[in-house]
Amino acid sequence: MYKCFPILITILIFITLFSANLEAASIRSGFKLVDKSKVRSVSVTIKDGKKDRTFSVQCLGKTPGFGRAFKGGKIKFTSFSEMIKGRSTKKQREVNLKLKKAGGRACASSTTPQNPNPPAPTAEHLSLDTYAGTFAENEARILLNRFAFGGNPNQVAELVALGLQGAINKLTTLVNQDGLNAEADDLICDSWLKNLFGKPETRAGNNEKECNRALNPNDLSRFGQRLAATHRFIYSPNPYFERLRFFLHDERMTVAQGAARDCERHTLLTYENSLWQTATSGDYISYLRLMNNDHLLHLRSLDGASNSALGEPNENYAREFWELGTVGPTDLAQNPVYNDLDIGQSALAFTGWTISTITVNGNQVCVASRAPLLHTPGNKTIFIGTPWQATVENDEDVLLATIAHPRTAEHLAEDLWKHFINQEADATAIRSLAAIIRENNYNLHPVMKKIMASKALYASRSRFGLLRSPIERLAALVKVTGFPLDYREYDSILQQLEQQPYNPPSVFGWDEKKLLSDQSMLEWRNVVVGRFMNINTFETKRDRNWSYYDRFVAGLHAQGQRTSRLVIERAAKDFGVMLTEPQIAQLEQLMNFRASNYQCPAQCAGKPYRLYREAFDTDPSAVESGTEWNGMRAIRQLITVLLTSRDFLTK
Amino acid sequence: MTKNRHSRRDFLKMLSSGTCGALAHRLIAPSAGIFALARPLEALAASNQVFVLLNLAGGCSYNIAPPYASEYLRRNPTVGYTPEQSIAITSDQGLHPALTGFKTIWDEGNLALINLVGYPNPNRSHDESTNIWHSANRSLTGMSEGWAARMSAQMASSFGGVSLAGAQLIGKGGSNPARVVSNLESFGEQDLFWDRSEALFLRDMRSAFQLDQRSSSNPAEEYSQESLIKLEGNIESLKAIGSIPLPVTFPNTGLGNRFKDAARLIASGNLLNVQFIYLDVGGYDTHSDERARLTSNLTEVNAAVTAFINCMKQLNRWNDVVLATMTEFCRTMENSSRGTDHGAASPLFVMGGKVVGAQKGPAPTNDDVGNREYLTARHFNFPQIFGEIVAQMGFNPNTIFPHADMAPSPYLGLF
Repeated sequence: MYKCFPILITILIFITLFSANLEAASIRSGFKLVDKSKVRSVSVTIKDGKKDRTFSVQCLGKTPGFGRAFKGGKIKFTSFSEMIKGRSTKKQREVNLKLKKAGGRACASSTTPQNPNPPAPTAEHLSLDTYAGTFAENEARILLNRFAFGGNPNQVAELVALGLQGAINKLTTLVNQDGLNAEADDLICDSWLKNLFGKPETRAGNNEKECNRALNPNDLSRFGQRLAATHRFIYSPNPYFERLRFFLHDERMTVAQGAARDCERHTLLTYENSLWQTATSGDYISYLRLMNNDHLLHLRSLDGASNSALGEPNENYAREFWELGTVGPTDLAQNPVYNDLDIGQSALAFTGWTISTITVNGNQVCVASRAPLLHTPGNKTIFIGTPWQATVENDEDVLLATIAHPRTAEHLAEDLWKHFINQEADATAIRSLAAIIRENNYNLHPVMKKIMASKALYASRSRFGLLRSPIERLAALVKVTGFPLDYREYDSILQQLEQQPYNPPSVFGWDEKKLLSDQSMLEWRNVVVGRFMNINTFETKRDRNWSYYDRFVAGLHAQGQRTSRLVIERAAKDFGVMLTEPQIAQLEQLMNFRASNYQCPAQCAGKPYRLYREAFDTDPSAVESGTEWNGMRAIRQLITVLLTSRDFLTK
Repeated sequence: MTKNRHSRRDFLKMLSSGTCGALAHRLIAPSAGIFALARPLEALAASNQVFVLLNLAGGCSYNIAPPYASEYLRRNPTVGYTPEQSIAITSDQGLHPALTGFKTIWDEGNLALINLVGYPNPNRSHDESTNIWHSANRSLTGMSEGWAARMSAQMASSFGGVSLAGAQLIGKGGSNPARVVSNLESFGEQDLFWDRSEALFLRDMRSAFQLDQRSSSNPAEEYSQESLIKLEGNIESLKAIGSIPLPVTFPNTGLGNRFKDAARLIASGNLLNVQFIYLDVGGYDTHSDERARLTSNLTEVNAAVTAFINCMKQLNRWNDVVLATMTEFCRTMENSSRGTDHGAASPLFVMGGKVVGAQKGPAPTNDDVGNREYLTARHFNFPQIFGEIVAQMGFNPNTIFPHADMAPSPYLGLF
């Protein structure tokens, strides 16, 4: 065998020398080795005898020639000038001369670069390479809309000033939120805030109650719990971490608070704290462990409390632990990841939990506890017949075997991609994100930072490439407008929009598409109109110091004749809506005309109304209150249209 | 200006066939602007047949039609039903005791109880199995189109298929996907101003605003644009239908109200020409305490279905309607929580004025039960049943169920 080494070494040296000298050789041979992207194709027709013949000619700059594909995405390009110099028949030489002449004209006039082969390399919207383009308002808004429940113009400007990495660091750095925690706790206790927008809450209600959970763990309001969740989504100084909490709640085995009895009210708080703990630590493996031990999710919602060794196993949790929380039912080639036997075995490993009742300071409290007698002892085999087959005894073993399965990272990558980047990931993209998840030992923060800095996120195809859920829409609306929404309405608004926190339609969480069906669109319109537009503007100004004029018009009325256009552009920019010129024209008409059915139908040309010009009035001093100026009607119509536009419904 | 998917012409066509068609022009006053421009482009097909499909979501237990095989009863000591505990309709099988209305239809000879219905190589995940039932595609790839969407693509009316259960795969895709409506009575837009003229002006401008949108560049933009345009097309016509009076009082439950909406859609006749209606009701994932939960669920189903059938009879539409049930899978034998886990083939009901009532396929036997965790036998693939229904309505079942392993034949003789 060793006799072959000299031959192999000779071959290797030859290959190395050949490669190293290829460029020099190319010059000597008359061809150039160039990047594929630098070459474009044009069609050239020449006379060949009496016939017209059409050739596909490649242009390198303005130089015509022929190109042949070479390895590494390169092209071997030979100009017609070089071909004419080389050895050829008279006939070939004539053709090359004609092609040089006609091709030269075609290459000079061709301005659109054409790739001779369709782009095989990773498209921008699938690339996790670091984005190196401009980081301006649009890009900052993408970060805020996808990772922070939206942001107002000041927040957009702040991120732009920080640049991409600075913006990511800011979003992913946890800051003190004692104030928000106090407000959330206030809501959780009695569903009222003691102070509202800096003033004592004066409305009737039990807004003085203090929680005393040390004495009674169930001393909390479920309604208040939902209010608190929404309050945090909107007002948190740590919106990225809240967004991550919402992702975990929605995408990875969600749970409804309705499953808890009164003696189990505390379980929702525990569940919520587990989500927050994961959102701040980023530790996804710990999250799975927390869920395996979670009273509300595992034992109640997914029947873990009745999965015992005393009968046939209850497979509910075992199935959803894999389907939703970890490996998913099928792999990237759509092959099943596990079978029914695996689920049965896993369910046996999860047996051994019960809920018992204890007394805490005279209060009955139901708690989860391990019950060894209810556990099915012995070894169980999961992922049978696959390379990841494992012998397990209990839930921790199942967890570890599941983490070792490559699909766990891939399935998490799929959810992260479709939730934060776009809806178009392919298997290669998923595998690359899964590799990053594994490299970071399932810590979500480095993965999220990679996503936040990726080309895919800022690719033009990704822009407006995700549907905005109702909670995101609501939070963004309040953040962008600064509208002092009545916090007592959070719950009913989100009920109307069918997305109350801790009240998902099923263990699968919310379906964004369902939440953007035409019926849901209508509900969103009604929320916008009913809860935000049809408000008492005088009271809002007096009690909360907010007005449409201050927010959208102030400072613009002295800048020219077409103030309505300036207002339209400001509002559209703040809401992140890209308008076409015809759309601006529609909105200008809306703001500068008024409809009336006076003298209809006689003078209304078949319509139920006729239009009267009433130029947009930007001067609030024209009326006594300062909030009911003539432009009020127009501004509210404008905001209504923008909030229900396609761009606001996507992100 | 070039549009990606929805040109102004497409939009007008949609409105003309869906909202402002010939009859709609008479019954629903169109507002103004863009709506007033709409003209009917094609006559609606004059078919009276309507297929109503009720999904018992979560995987309904076989105890909806309990088998009496001794092994089955032995393996299901708490959740099973003996002949004395159920409504016996054959020697080997009965109806759940809550389904009294179903018994009436059985006695009238218009209820088919079809045993062990499923599909090859059953999947026991809620999500995936539902997708298989919705797409009639077993491969798990290319499931972007539902079979009801393939059916509504053969309908002239853009309201031909309606989902009263949200946007579901069954009605998605194709050239004429199902319209999604969740509550006809509340399907209306709150006006921004007290002045109706101003509200109509705003709506017209908003419609025009949608049309002047730049081209979609990704699926999310496309989907939201589609939803907005559909909304413009639906809003007035469905609002009017939501107030059609019905001769029967429906139970005020979630399912009762959805069946009421279904009845109104059918009662609207050629105004919308609805031919397929999809409804669902959840709660059938009975991993624990099945007996109480199933009884509660089926009590609601029985009341809603009974009201619907009575309504159809009084409207003289019972002969035009076929009501069928589906569920993504059946369930296992009883577990330690007095519940059942995910199984496979299930019983399925088909009823209607023209349906020839009978038990189709024998009830599960002792051999079928054996020592198995769940019933693995299968008498029929569901496309055989749904294929026969759509064929009877005049549609081509082979284009609706095109996959070889989900062929819509042989038929069971339901009509």
